[in-house]
Amino acid sequence: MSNASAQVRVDLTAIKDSVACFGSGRQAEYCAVLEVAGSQQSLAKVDEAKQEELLAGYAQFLNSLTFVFQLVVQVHPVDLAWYVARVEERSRFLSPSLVAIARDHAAFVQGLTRQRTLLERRTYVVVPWSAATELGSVRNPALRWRLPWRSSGRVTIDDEHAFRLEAISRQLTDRCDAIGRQLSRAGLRTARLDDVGLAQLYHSSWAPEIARSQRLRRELTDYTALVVGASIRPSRSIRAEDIDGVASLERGPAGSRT
Amino acid sequence: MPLPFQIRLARKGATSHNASRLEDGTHAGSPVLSPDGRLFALGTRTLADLIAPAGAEIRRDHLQLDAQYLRVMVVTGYPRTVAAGWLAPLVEEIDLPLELSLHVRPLSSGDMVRALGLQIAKLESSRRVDLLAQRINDPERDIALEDADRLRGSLQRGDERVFSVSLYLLLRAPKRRALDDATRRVEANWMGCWCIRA
Repeated sequence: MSNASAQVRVDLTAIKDSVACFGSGRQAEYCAVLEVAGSQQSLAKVDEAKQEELLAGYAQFLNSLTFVFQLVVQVHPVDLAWYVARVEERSRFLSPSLVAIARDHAAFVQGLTRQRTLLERRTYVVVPWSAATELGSVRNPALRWRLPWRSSGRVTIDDEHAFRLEAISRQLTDRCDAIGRQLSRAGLRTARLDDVGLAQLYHSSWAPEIARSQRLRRELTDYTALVVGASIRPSRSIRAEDIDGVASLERGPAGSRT
Repeated sequence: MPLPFQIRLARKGATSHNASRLEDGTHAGSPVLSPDGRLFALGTRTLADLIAPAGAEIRRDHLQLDAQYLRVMVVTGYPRTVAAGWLAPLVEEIDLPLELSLHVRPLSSGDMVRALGLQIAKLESSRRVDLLAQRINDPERDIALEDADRLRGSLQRGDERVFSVSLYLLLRAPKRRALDDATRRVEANWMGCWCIRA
């Protein structure tokens, strides 16, 4: 067992434009995730005619695909403590006749969670992209990404990286749209996870206990953007504490934000 | 084979521009930083800082993330045919927190037709040798020949396609003993499949 921190073991390097990126450089792998909301009926329990219709829809979905995908079914325990707390909080503002009903309902839900294991099922379709899979047939993968105006010498590595990311993002969007269209024919609704949705999914997979108690903010950049600024007041001189970045340097490696 | 995306770990020697911040504050593949730069890099936050657990430990037959125990099982043998909803008992009837991950890779029909042609030629020649030697037909080979021939016809007509499929199961439990119990329950309930603990 190595002594490396847990962060080093997480290969996720960026989430941008609803695409998660693993690793870096030409070896980087990308993926987009669709959440699938299906019917509550089990396929094995519906009647034969309906089953045939659904299976034909799924077969059409599979036959239409020309790329790799991954189907993930997550079965997680449901934490209803937040729901009970919300019902109790709301009950304070209700009329006395409704208060008793609300408290009774909260007690019922609490009892249910104690007596039974409540599980929530979520289904996702993951559409990955990696150079090894997509460009495997091309002899020199570097050629695939060479821009027509590269020979002029005006293109930097950053430009090429941005172009590459854009092309991958567009390809993943097309694939997600194709999957969404095909699954909707089989009666399933899909919704693509945005940046925060992806971060929440990975957070709940890597650290479920923390994810349950800590909700992510709407903007991921709030967490990772550098906060280096000075609140300049003409009346007095600027101290090191006024500059967040400097303060964090003085405090050491604990954090950069005050 | 790829692991379920939820628990994929950084590859050995993989470099990333942001999350691979090393213990000494440097980034893998980046130029050597000055002492101040190194301190500053340690203070910055990355996406990995946000989602990573406090601790991750890889053991021989399980993984530990924070206080939770995880185990991945790989299905290595499948039944010859499956009915609609064959995985439903696992997802719906066993009350266990788990994650099922099915990787599907479409294969080129042209390549498959060529590969099946070769397979049919092998099986057919084996059958003819047996016939010449006046040996009794092998029923397993006859079924395989029939299946391969039918599949080749369907592929050629475009009625069917072939996929490479791999199935993984991730079990989670708060204690090691609970994880072992969950593993035994899954192994007992997974009728007709061979699975191994990864």
